[in-house]
Amino acid sequence: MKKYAYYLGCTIPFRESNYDLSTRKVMDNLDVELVDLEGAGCCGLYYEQINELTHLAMSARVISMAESLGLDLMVLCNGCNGSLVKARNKLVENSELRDKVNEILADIDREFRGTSEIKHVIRILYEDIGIDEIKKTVKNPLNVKVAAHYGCHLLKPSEQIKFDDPREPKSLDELIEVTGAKSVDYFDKNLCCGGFVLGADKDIAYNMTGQKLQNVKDVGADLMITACPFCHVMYDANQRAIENELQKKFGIPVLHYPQLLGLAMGFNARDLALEQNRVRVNPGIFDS
Amino acid sequence: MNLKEKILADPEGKSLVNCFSCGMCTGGCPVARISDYNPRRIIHKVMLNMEPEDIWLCANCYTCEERCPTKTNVADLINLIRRITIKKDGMPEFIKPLVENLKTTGYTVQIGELENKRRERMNLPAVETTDEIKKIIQKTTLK
Amino acid sequence: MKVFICDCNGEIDIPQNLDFGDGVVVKTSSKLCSEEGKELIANSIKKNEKIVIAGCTPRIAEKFFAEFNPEYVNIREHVAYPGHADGKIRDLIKGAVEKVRISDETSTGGFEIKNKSALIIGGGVAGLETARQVASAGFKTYLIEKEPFLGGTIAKLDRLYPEGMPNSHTLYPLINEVVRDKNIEILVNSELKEISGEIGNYRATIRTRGKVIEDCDLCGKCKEVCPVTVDDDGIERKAIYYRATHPDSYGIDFENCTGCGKCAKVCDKIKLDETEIELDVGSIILATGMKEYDARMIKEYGYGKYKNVFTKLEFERKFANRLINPKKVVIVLCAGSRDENHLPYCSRVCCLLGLKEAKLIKDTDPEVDVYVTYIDLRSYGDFENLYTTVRETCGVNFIQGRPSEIVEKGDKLLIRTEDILLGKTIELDTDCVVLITGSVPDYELLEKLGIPSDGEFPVDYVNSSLSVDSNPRGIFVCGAAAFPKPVAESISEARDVAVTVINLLNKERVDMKTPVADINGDICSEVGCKICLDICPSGAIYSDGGIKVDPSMCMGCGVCTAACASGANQLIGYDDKGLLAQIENTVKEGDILAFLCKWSSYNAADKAGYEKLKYPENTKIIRIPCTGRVDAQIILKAFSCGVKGILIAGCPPDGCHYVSGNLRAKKRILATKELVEQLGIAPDSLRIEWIGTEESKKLVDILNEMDKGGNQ
Repeated sequence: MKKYAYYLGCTIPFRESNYDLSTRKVMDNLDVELVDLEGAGCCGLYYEQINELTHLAMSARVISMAESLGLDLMVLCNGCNGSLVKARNKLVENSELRDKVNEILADIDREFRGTSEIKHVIRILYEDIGIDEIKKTVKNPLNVKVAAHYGCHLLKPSEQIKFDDPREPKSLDELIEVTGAKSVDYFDKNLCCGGFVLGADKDIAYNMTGQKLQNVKDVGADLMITACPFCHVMYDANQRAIENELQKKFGIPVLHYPQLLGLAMGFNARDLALEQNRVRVNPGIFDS
Repeated sequence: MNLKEKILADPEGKSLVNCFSCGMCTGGCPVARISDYNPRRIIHKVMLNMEPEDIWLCANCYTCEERCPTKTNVADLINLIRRITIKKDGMPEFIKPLVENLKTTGYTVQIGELENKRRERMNLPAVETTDEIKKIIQKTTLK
Repeated sequence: MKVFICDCNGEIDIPQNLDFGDGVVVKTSSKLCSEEGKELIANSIKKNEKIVIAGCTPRIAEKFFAEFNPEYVNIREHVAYPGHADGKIRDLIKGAVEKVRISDETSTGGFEIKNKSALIIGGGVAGLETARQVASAGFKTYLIEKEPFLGGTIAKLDRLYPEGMPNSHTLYPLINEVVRDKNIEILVNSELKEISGEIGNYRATIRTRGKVIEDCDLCGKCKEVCPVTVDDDGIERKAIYYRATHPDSYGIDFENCTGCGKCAKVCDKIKLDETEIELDVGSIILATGMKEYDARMIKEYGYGKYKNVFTKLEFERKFANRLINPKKVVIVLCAGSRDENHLPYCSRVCCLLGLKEAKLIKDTDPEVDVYVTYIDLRSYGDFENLYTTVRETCGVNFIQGRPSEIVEKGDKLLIRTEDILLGKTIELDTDCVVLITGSVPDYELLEKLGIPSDGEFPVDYVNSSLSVDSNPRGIFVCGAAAFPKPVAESISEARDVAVTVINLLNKERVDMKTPVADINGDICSEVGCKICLDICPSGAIYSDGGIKVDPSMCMGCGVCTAACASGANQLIGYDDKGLLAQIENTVKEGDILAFLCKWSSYNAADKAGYEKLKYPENTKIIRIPCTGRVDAQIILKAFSCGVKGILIAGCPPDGCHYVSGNLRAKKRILATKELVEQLGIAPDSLRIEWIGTEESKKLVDILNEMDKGGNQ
């Protein structure tokens, strides 16, 4: 049985608990055990812009929690993924930095050793579990046209993350197709959601999110699939506001990938908290 | 030290000198496409000891860095420029509440009763706040 | 052993009563470089007797005495001119005598040129021109071509730049000359399998299917029945096809032929069998021309995914044959070039090829909208005229910026690029994109011929193979196989190579020109570290069971000898025991010992002599091929002899005659400093410096500083 330390970050428990719930259901069904990290806190992503040492110490703290359990760390958020992987790489490569960080962690009785890997849930599904194993759990193949959105820090910077090929990614598409859904190609599929620039310039962020929603609408996709809670906030929670801002109508339901997989496994909409998605999802569209 | 010297003195900043200003970063930048933001110009201005503009508009998508033909770590350089700028001028307004939340809860957001009640209804474990982050921030920034 | 001392018409005061021990006879002369002087040497030495010549700098002496293979001692520029006392003369000669006495035999190896013939690989312009020149000097020449027809890349083109001249102007007369020459044997559908032997005596094994049809009347029935359609750089054809170059018959593209035999059923002249032949040749020339970088690797540009993104060759062929009629074309220069993710180098001709395509379009249809994107437009030399012409041709727009991506929207392509001059990102929509990609080396053939390439074009090898001071190897590269270049430059390079090959084949024997390293297999196999294998800057060291040196590839720098911990590897003429004996017998307590690279710093010391610059008399200079030859053993020996300072000086960082010997030296010396410090010697008394031929002042300043114990 596979077992991971399970890390939520900030956005999920606050605004996207449906991602959390659906991931637990799906992982349970795949015989994967998740161990919650109590008081896990933030990965330190924002401190990449503020203070490097704080960022490294915050990331190292989260990683050390998984290390003390002797488990690899499952992350659900692209932001956490990028932040933790980059920090881990730096600390593994640079012993001077590692000593500095451990000096800080000593105050809270923690230590970074570099023994646990950081893995995004998509990577775990694609590499550790594999399409073939997932296929066995699909009881209710879905008949929908889906637009995949990978997001940025699941794949980039590729020299650090080393997963899939950001120029032509295929992991999420294959994970979508295993549910029976069709993953459609669409214009500017690799475009960023713009979430990271929301604080500095809302217009730019909304414009980026809106462009992609338009492109998804243009190919007639039934829904959009994300792999990151923040991308999901941009496309789902903020969709109404963006529609108002840009004077456009999208009406595109946006699901977290485990919600889609959960439906294919036979869970019902309520099991997966589909009612918490802001853009209403008509469960009827999944019927074959 | 000026900005350029500070960047070159940082291990993360070494690739600054790789840039030959071909524009591949800006040509593929999703923010540049819809605004005057220009990552190539940021790098170029730093090289010329000029004050770069729009440093907070990078969406951190790393497309520039992926494609850069000279392996200039454009996005990481912009993060570094932000860190150096904050040290000099302080934090921009939109970051301040995130940092405040981190100090009080350990998260960038305020996790209140409402969220944990919903999680309880969903049979999800409650989110516990932590003061460890506050300690880390204090220890790493009070110098 | 004999020592000849020349006083240079009385310019040098030679000490009296010189005695260098048993069996060493000293003879003096006032003008050893005169005919009488050389006669004196010739008449007084026995065959293969070792000699030392002391007099002027070896830079001059080598012009006169190379035939005697002496050890030179510079007592003019390094003693008399700077006004040093004559006791130094005794020390320097003594050092040379003891070096020569103990050193292994310095044999000047050579090769017999048995086969008066050449093999040329590649039937494009470079190969054709080399064949024509070598054959016209009367030597048997084999010209092998992988494809069924001669002509290479330019046979596929519509026109050549910069004049826009049809390719036939260049190609047809050249092919005619080659076909007419009785000394040239043309083998199409032929590839090199392997080579063995050495210069003057190579055996090449060729896999060949030759001309598959004898007396073909070009009826074309074979083509009609052939079931295989091939996309030949933009033009569809069958696997059996005709190209109007040579031979004048249908030919089979065996790379795509399935061997179904349908053509042979309609024509009994077709033969499909393959044979192997062996050719004995004295020299081999690689002239395989241009090989395009695979544009599919640049995923952002969508080649292979979008149907209207073409390579330059495809575009030119489709456009010239009216298979496409775009209304708007964007030509992307530097596609995948100057890019650490693809080709880090500039392929030199791409800008010109892009300009040529722009002109071709405008010449054909001035109404077509043409854009060219570039990073830096490199229209070097005369090609500026081409740039000017294209720029002045109304409607060709130039956008400075490297496109970040190409995407398809509806039936249009969008090119996303910054227009650097505007400082803005723009989206160019277009019907058609031409990717001007760079060229890649033919790694497979380079490896078969033992030419080191290191993932790039073999520029260092090409330079050294034509240089006057490198050892003869008899394998050359020319044309675009050596580095991408215009047709005219390929032809002139082919002539350079041909002259060298003709000179070589005209000789009965060629001698080695530089000292070479030699590895004692017994000692080496016991240690088996293989350090020298990777360290050799010219790829001369190889492993076939044991570690060996290919003397024809060795440039004689001694970097490998210095790296060899076991002493198995010895640079002949500069072996460990010779150098150690030279040091021991040259230096005295408190001396400064300078190891100066013969290509730069040694000449600076000569110049200091001409300029009568003052530097410490206790400076003893030992001439070495490269700073890379100096190792810890040599340094420790010198310190143990009581020297107070050691200077190792050579060419500036990017200017090493042996590519990187100086950089190796720097690393090694810095590491040795630590060792020296452990022995209680001040690390500053060991210095490595870059001192060029002109920098006599720098040399003298350093030596004076070292004498005072300064450490800057």
